Amino acid sequence: MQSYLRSRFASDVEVTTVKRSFPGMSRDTWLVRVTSSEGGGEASSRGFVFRMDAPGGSICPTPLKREYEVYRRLYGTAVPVPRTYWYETDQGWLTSGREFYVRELVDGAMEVPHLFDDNAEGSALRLAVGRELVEKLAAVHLVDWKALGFDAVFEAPPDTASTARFDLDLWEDILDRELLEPEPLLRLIFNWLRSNPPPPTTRICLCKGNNGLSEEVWRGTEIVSMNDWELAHLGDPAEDWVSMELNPMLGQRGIDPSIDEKLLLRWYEELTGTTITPERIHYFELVRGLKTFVNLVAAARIVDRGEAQRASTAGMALALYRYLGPFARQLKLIS
Amino acid sequence: MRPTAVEMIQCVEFSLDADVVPNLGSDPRAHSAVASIRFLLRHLAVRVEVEPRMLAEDSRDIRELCVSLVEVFRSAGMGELADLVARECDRIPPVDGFPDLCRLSKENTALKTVVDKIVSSLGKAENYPSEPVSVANTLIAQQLARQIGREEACMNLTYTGSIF
Repeated sequence: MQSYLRSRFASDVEVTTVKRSFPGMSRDTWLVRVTSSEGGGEASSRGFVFRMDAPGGSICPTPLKREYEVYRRLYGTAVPVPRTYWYETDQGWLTSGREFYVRELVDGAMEVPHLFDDNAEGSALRLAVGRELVEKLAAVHLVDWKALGFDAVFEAPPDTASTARFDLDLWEDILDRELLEPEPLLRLIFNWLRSNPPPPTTRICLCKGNNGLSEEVWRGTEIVSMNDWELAHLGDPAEDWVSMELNPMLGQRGIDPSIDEKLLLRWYEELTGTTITPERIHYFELVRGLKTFVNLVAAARIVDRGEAQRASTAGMALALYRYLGPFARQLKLIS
Repeated sequence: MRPTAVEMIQCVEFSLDADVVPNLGSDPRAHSAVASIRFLLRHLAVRVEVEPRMLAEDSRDIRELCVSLVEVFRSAGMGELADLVARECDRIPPVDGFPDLCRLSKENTALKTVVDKIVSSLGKAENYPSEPVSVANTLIAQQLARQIGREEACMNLTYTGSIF
């Protein structure tokens, strides 16, 4: 990393710390702190993030380059994202052939202390954090994705009426690509969702895919950087509502019952002019579950190829079989 | 006197607890890896005992399902689909001789592929009559429920917490 940064950034870069972020199951994220005078003056400290697929591949079945493109296009808009520097494909710099990109390391925290304290201060804090999450999500959804060229990065639904079906078909294509062994129950679930579409959305927007507490960088109650764009796509904003993490369980989606979700939805509607209905929330809760299963199928594929270098990858592959039955029962597809 | 597969797996877990975990310090990634390893070991211990029977029963179940589906499709005038199912199933020879895990697994995967194709066809075709499609989907859902029930014996016994 030091050699790389000396060749790309400044010749006097000295790496002071290297840390791999945790948990981070989708891809490897390395946080690198350096000192450099950047060509003159006193040396100062700054940080870089190196992001790449895990050895053996990512469980996230979308290309790494897409993440880079999202950051690059959003930088300078109302959506706070770190600056990107380089997307590296030069074989001379790659480890095990893994491409990577480098972005700015924005200082902050992945959590808000005392957020779920059971007292008046905790309650006020939750409201402030909820408001901030809604405002930043609205900023993402209000981005002019056509002007920023996002239809060159993602497949764009042809119209609002077919947005849900379009996304479902995309993910079934991903399943077909990743699946090494058939799992008819997954197919049945796709069929069910196709036959039970949601009311159509009123807008197609850039969706973040993973958002909420531990997906962003915080300073106090302000989001200073929105990270984790690996599931970003063009689609129905209701899906992002479902992906929001605003509860005490790290990485778990959902809004804690101590937070007034209707108030958050009202704020969102005031900011965007878009209503997110309970019917669309319910549909996308199911789609979210299905997409998680497809990610777990990708984990199984990595294990099947003999390329899994982590026990957790095999664990994730098995988790598919742990949760598929209960999910199908929830849909009343099986008894 | 040879240690069984389960006994060996237990020894690995004991050694993990006694020799490795106390020396992990506070590294969250190391603790997470151990949690995954423990989960996989427990899963293996159960799977080694139940998987061959599970696969044999599931494959028998799928073959019976396919026979029923062929009848449903023929009666409904869906001859092409009936022929496809019959042909695909006939191409998968049942495991004979001593049913080792590898051959049982191959047979089961091949039979599941047939079911997957049927589900896909029924989901995407728009010109099939609705009643036989509904009957077929019900039969398939019942077989899948039994499959999940058999697999849960492997999963629920071992899943006792976070896998990361």
